[in-house]
Parts: sequence; structure tokens; C-alpha cells
Amino acid sequence: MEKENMRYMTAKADNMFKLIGIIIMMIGVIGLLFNWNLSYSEKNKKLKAFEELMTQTIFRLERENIRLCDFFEEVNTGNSQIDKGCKEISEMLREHQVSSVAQAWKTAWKSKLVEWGLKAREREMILNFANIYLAGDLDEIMDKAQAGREDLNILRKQEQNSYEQKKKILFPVGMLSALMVIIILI
Amino acid sequence: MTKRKEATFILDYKYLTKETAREITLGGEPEEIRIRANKPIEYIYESKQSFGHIVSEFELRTQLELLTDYSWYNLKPQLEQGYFTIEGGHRIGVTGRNKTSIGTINIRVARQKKGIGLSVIPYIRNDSSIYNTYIISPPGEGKTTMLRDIIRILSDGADGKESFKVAVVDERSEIGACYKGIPQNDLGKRCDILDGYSKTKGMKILLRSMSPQIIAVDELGTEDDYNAVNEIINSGIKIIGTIHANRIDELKEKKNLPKVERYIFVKRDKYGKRKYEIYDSEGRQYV
Repeated sequence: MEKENMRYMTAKADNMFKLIGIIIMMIGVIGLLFNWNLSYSEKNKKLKAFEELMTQTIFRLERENIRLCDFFEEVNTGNSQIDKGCKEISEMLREHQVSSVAQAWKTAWKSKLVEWGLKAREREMILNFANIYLAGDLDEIMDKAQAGREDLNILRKQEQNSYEQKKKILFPVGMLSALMVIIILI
Repeated sequence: MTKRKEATFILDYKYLTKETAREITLGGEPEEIRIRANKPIEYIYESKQSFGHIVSEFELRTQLELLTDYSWYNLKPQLEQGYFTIEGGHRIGVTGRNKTSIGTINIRVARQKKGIGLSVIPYIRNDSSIYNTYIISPPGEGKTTMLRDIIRILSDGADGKESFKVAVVDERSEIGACYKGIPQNDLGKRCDILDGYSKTKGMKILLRSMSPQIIAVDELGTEDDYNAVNEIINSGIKIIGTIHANRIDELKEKKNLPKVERYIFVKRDKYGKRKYEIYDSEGRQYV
């Protein structure tokens, strides 16, 4: 009787360990999914804001004939962090603190892009946008900003695809784990 | 760079590279700064000139970025004329094809010398108005500076007499030194400026729209200018204009130049001090 009890208890403990293990795994998968989703969403917002900045560059510089310091001061991309960076650029230009607009651009974004978790390739692309504002005339600026906007759009689509791929693998794994827990519980 | 100097120099130091600002602090405030790639920077003072550090191509581009407020694209229409004006009315001349192939930058520091016109005003004024007047001198001797002060005195009545409605055609933004349409120089309270218009067109516009008592214009030189001046004189409005000439009798060679009652010839002596000669319509010299 005692032996049977022991066997029953051991089996129960065994099942409990399995259950805890599966729950931990599930939490991990869900956590990973959530984290990926969060970082993807944040990154996507930033890239979208830079895309908006390029759009405003194309339209506002030509139509309103404004100086760069005024343009960066008034930029509204819908993302407060990008707008804040633009205001920093505006300040640097207004006070003539830098030797060129490219220097202001790089100073404003370099550390932030790392902080936001952008990959080296993405950081390089955004930092190179500095050259847009160095262009000699409006047509050149428009062309470069247009190209920049397209590059960002492609990058965002690539990111979205990669995220979808990850989701395709992790979602079934998560579902399977949940199913297993349910079976064990029953 | 000392704070005292920074405060006194008319051209804001923020428009200059650090090296240039340092040299100006040490060497004094020039009237002109000529910056050429791979050549020593040239400072031109009233009666002398000096050279400073060698300017690299990078520094030349940085200088351009600073002067254009990093917005070269914004100045393209002005640059078609070869120059643009910055805050404070300083005129920046540029040679070169585009932003990346700039040869020379010439900064002409705008300076208003108030009071220099007072000595000639008694010869220009008559009982109720003024005489039509030309100010004549070789380039760089100060005829625009003289014109600017005469405009201010007449528009303000700064000599203690009657003031006039003075209208100015400022084709090259040299008189009013307008920045974004606002004159940076003091041209008096009754002065209206047409900035960036061609002289001929501007004089006609002012004649019709502003009902001025006096029209002032810088650097008359073409047949069209002379015709416009003639039209102004015939309509009873007084004219004050400047003309390039090395000698007063050079004016005889300008065939269609309308005659006026007063001619002020401006020149500098060997010490750089301005001297004036004043003639009437018959060529008689007053001073």
C-alpha cells in the first residue's frame, strides 16, 4: 500500500514537473513572441517616421522654400522621438554648431539608432541620409529623398516578411505546447 | 576670440569658420573678406589689405554652409545673380558652378556710416525740396555709403530740416541690405524700399505706386536706366543716383545721361580718408 502510494506520488510529481516544464516553455515562447512583436512594432514605427521625414523633405523644402533649420524645427513625423531628434538638428544648425548639415544629422541619430536596436545595415542607411541635405540643388535633394524613402519602404517590407516568417514557426510551436498542457491536465 | 570683439564686429561670428573668426579678432575688422580654395584668405581694410591662413577646400565648403545657413538650395535664385545677402545685410559674392565647385567667396561687410552725408546735404537741399543729384566715384570709394546716409538724412530730416518721402530701388540689396525683405540698415522713417528689382522696372513701379518726393537708386549705367531717370525728372520727382566714373569729366562720355543740378564726386586720399567735390550743372565746383 505504501509502495503504491509512493509510485502514485512519484508519477504525480513527474507529471507536475512535466507540466511546469511545458508551462515555462510556453511562457518563454509567448514572451519571445511578445518581445519580437514589440521590437518589430517599435522599429517599424521608427522606420515609418523616417519615411515620413523623407516625404516631408520632398514636399516642404520645394513648396515652402524654407531654411533647413526651420524645416527640422517644424517636422512632424508622428513619432515623438524622431521629432525630438529633428529639433536637435534644428538647434545645431540655428546656432551654427556644426560644420555641415551632415555632421548635425549624424550627431543627432548615431547613438539613438544603436539605442533603438537597429541593425548595422539599417543604421548605415539612415546615417547616409545626411547626404540628401548636402545636395547642391532642390532637384537633387528631391531625387535623393525619394530614393531614401523607397529604400526605407523596401527595408520595412523585408522586416515585415522576416517577422511573419518567425511568427509562422513560433505560432504553431506555441499552439502545440498549449495543446500538450491541455492533454496533460486532462 | 574675446567676447568684447565678438560683440563689436558687425558680421556675426557664427557665419565664419573658427580660424577666420580668430584672425579677425587678432587683426581687426575688415570691410571685405575674400576666401579662395587653397589660397591664403584675404582681408581688405579701408586703406590696407592682409592675408591669413591657407583655406582648404573643406574649409571653403564649411564657410559656404555657414553663410547659407546650410540651405544652399534655398538661395539658388539669388545665386544666379552671383551673390546673396545674409542677416545684417552683408553681401556674399560667390564664383563657381555649384555647391561642390566653388572658387571664391567674397564677404562684403555691410557697414553704415551715419553722419557722413551731413557735410554735403546743404549743397543738395534747396528752399522747399532738393536738387537732382548724382554721386560719382570709382568702385569701392564709398558712393553707396554716401547715398545711404543721404537717404537717411532726407527721410528722417536728420539735419534738422524738412523730411521727405524717399523711395529706394535697391537692386543688389546694397543700400538697405534687406534680409527677408526687412532693411538691416537705417534708412530713416519715411523710406520705402523696393528690394531686388531691376532699377528700370523699380523706378517705374515707385513712380506709379508710392508717390515719392525723392527716388534714390544705386549704380546707374545703362540706356534704360537713363531713360527711367529722365521719366522721373520729367514727372517732377527728384532723383539721387550713383554712377561709376574715375573722373568727373567722364560723365560727358555717357551720352544719354540726363543732366542734373548737383554732382558729388567722392574720392579717397592716400590715407584712405574720403574727400568730396561738389559741382553744379554748369560744372562749377562748390567744394
